[in-house]
Amino acid sequence: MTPTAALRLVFHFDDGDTSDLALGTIDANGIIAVGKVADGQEDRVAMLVEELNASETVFVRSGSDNPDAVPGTMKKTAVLRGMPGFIDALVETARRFYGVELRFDRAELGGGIAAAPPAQFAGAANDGAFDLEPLPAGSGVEDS
Amino acid sequence: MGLRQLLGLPPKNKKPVAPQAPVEDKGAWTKVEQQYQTLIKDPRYSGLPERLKKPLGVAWTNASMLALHGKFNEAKEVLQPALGIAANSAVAGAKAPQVFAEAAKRASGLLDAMALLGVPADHVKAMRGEFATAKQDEKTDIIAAAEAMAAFAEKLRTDPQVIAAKAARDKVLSERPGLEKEIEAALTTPPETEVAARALRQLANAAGLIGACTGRLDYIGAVKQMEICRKAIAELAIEAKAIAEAVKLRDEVVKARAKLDAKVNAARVIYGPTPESEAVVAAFKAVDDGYYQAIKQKDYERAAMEVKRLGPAADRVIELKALCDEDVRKREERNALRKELRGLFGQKNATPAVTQAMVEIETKLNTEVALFDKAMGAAEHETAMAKGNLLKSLFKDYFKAAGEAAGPLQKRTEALDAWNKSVKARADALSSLAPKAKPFKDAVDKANDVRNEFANLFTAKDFDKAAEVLKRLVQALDEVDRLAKLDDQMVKDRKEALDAFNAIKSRVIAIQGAKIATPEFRTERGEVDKLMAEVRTLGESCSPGGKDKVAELEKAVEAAEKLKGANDGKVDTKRQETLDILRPGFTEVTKAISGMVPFLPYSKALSDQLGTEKDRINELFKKGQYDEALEAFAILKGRLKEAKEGEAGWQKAADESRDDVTSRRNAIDADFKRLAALEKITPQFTTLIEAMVNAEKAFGVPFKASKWPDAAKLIGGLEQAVAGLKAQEGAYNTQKADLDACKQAETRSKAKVATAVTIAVTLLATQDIQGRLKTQQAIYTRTMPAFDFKTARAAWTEAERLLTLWDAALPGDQAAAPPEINEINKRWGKLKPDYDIAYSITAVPKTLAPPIGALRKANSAFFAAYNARDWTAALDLIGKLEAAVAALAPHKDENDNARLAAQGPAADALDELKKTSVDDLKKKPMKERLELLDQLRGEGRQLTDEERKAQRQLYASLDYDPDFKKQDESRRGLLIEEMGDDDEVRAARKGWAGKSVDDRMKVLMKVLTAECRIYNVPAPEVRLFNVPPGDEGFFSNSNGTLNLNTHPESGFSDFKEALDTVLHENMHNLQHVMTIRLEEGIIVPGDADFMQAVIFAANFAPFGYVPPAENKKVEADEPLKDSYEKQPVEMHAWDTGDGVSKGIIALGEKPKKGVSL
Repeated sequence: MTPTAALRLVFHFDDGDTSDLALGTIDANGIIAVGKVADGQEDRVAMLVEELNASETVFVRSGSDNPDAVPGTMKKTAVLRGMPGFIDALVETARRFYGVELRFDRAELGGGIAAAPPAQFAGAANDGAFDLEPLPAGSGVEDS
Repeated sequence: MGLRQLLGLPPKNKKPVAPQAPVEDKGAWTKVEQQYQTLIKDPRYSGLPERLKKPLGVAWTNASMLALHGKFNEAKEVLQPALGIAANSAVAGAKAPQVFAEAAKRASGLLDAMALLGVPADHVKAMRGEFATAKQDEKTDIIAAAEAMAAFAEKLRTDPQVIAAKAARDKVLSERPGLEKEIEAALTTPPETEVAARALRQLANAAGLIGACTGRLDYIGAVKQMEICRKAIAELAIEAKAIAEAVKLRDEVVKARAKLDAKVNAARVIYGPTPESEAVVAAFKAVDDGYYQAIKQKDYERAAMEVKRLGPAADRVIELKALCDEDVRKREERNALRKELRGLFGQKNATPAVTQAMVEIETKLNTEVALFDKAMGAAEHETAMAKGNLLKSLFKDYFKAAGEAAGPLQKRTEALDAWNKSVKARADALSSLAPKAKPFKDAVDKANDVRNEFANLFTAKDFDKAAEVLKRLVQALDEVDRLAKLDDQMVKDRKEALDAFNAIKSRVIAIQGAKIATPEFRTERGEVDKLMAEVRTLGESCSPGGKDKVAELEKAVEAAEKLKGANDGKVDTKRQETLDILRPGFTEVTKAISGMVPFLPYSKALSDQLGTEKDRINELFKKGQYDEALEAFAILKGRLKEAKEGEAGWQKAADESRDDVTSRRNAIDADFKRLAALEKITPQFTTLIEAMVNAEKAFGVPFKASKWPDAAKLIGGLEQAVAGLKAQEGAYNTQKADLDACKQAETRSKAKVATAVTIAVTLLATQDIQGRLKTQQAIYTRTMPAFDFKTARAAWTEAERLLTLWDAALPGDQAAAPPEINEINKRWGKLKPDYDIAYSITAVPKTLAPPIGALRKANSAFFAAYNARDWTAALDLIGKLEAAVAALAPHKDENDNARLAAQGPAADALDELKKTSVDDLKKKPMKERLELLDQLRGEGRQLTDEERKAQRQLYASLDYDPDFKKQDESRRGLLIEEMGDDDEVRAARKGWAGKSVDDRMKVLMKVLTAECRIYNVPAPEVRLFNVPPGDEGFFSNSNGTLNLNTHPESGFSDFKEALDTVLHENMHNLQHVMTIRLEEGIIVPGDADFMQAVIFAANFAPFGYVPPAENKKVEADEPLKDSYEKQPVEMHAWDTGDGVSKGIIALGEKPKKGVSL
């Protein structure tokens, strides 16, 4: 079975705010499946999933490194689904054209188990300690 | 009465006469006095301001005094004139309000008229200020106010600015209709010479502004625009003949070009898969580009020449079709293999590596797939096929290994299932907990640690252990659940214990701080220490019972306190006795530890133990546990002899270490010396050599200082570095041999090749040799700096072989050469020194820019003809090139001086930029930043690496100009709205890849046209090309074309990407147009896009563009990362391409903010 990771589709607004669009999974070949979808976003999510799942190739953009190219020439490198680098390019494509972040744990996608996220500590127990001041100077062997 | 009389002085220049008693006329005085009394009661007088009433008051006082002394005549003489003046003032005062009102009305009317006449606003504002000043005395001194207002009204009437504005209005009203007809007629002139095109652009812009200025009543501005229009119309009239000739020529050229459409379009989709065929395609592209460049420059003569060359050039490319098709076939073969591999990758992704064998194959697969991709990218067919087949075989091995790993796979599945089914959700939920009590936090941390242990074992394929750890994880999670319920209680228990403890804390400190003297106190003190430790343990673990334990502690403290009185003040003899033993004993220990230092690190273990024990004894002593301290010291003392006994062993170990290190160093000495002397011929060898030399330097420091253990730690690294380089020595020797061969060939033949590729030749055979030589020259020129000496050597070998053929062919060629060739070669040889000088001249001062532009144009035209072997044209054009060189070369001194003068400011700008962070640069005004950039590039030459970094730094500080941004966002919004709603565009989205190129272009042209219309920019000519990816598209400013790659594997086959490319590249079109409009004064200060046009122009200026390669130089420098994408023109094009295509693709209602699922 192809490894999958839990996926959260996060919409990024122009002002930097975010909202969840949907929850689902993504597999190591970049195939997305969605479960819960935010109210009113069904069409947007369906279109994104349909188009991205149908893409056998996605592209990585950069400036051209061809020495004979006219300055400003744009280069696009095709990455085939299933090949290394596809997932990264897919994530970038979702960001560029749909304004959507595909949020998931890479370790899970690689068939591994994700490391634990950092734990929180409300820290009430830090309010004071059962400590005494150090014993006064001059009480040791060498300083007596 | 005169002043002298008033003062009682004799008249001037008159001899004094004997005084005579005057006859005083009291009646006359009385009459005057009565007149005075009447006047001062008159309200017209009493209403006068004090300053006007004062003279009469003074006169009355003086006159009254005189009358009192019976001097009635004099009194009358004093009062009567003042009375007259005051009466007049009273009459004038009565009229003043009316005078003021009339003058104010006149002035106000003129002020209103000024605004309507388009008098500059600041002047109107100043006049309104003066009007307010003139009005301010109205209440206090109406006469002065009336006088001031009358003067102000008169000033306004004769104000030169008002007169000028009025004249301008009259001019606009009377001349505009006639001029507009002239403009209308002039605008129909075809823009077919450069002068005409520029004049028409300026005319169209100024014509629009006449109406705009008139509309806002700026008649002066309107007249200015009318003058620009008249100037442009006059230029068009002068240019009429040239335009007519150009139109005729253009029609002929366009007609001739149209006949070649089919051929040219066919040639454009053929590419050269080999260096030789690539050169043929490049030659065709140069002619194809040259045609558009000439058309853009309205140089139809050159365009006609390019058309003449275009057919044969296209024919030569079409001859390559079979070669290209063969390459396409090979590419398809490679792609089929890649597709097959892709399937295997998918299959492999579903079969995780679970055994060491599978992991090893997976590692190889990852290495090989990178090499396969590299070969695919470089279209190296054989390598790609070989690597692909190797990958297939590795996949086969992998699946075979998977077949043999059924057990581990099963275990993996079980572990994963167990994790997913019952543990993952609980483990993930830990991150949302916020423990308050430390034991609860510790339990969460422990559970996370166990989870990470499980994840690591799972990754390491140790599924048996992972399953065991998973059980522990469940237990740890259970403990978390248990403590979660107790969290609040634990916090409460701890707080209660802490509060109780804090209440007695000072008493505990007092007991523990007391010096122990009596045995009774020592016992109680021991009890306090014991209970204190228990309180701490219970308290910190938030356990119940902490408070009770504090109560016990308090009782012990009470007991100790009772004994403290008897204890304090007594001499603690036991303490002193203990001290007498420990003090010299500790000295002895310290000495022993010092004695072990020379034998470190061998003596370290014992040294640390002795030190630690000594510290522990000291702590016991401090607590008054003297017996325990003495007992421990006795043991410690016994161990001191170990320090003496160990010396021999440690020395032996040190000697062994020295011998070992020395012998290992000697063993590699010969290799090191030989390898260190290697030449740093490539970056790879430079790194290896420097790493080895640095390893030796690091090793040498402890080695020379006889610090053998330290040296022993470093010898391994040095050995590794030597071995690493030695392993590459064979490869080095091969590359060095290639490099030496290249250098020798370079010395022998570089100049000869350079000459051979530049002279004009006639015979096809000689041309063929020359073409091949050029190809080889291009190869070694490219590969030598890229350290590909093998390829470079092969190119040199081939070049030298071709030179032999060249020498044999040249005499025959010269004999067959038409006279033009010899003439061209002769004139070129003569021109070359001055040509080189002219080409070294930079555009400083800026007045040199036009002759530099003329030289580039003449150069380009000459070499286009020359390279196309159009000797007649080339001979004609070399004259123009000579003229351009002759016009520019004499400016060398001027350029040198200007560059010298610019050096200081450039250095200052560099210093400033080096010491200023990007954030601090952002705080400087935009104008100041652009000035810094201008200074930095003041010499007009290629920038150094340091200067380029400073330039990138400055670009990183530039954001959009706010006015432009607002306008740009609005235009993007319009385009998204229009194209997002367009049925044709929406329909094209589905099944895009299956549509024909023409159908796809129809949609893209629609988007492009809309973008041009909304951004008010002329639509560029679109040209399609077809080369294997990845150059996707570009806008060429030299010929005004937008170029798109339609290769099936390019982004053109993806709707989103094709849309993005078109939108992006057309923004470069806009940016260049803005730059031209700025240069031509069409965009001026005050326009919304002025400042952004200045920024774009600065980015497009010579040496201002940041090529993608510069990104590699700035990886470690965060604010300068992605400098290529962040430079103003690219940032704008990328933002527009992304922003608009996203707007079109992701249409629909946006989600609500703050939604969390």
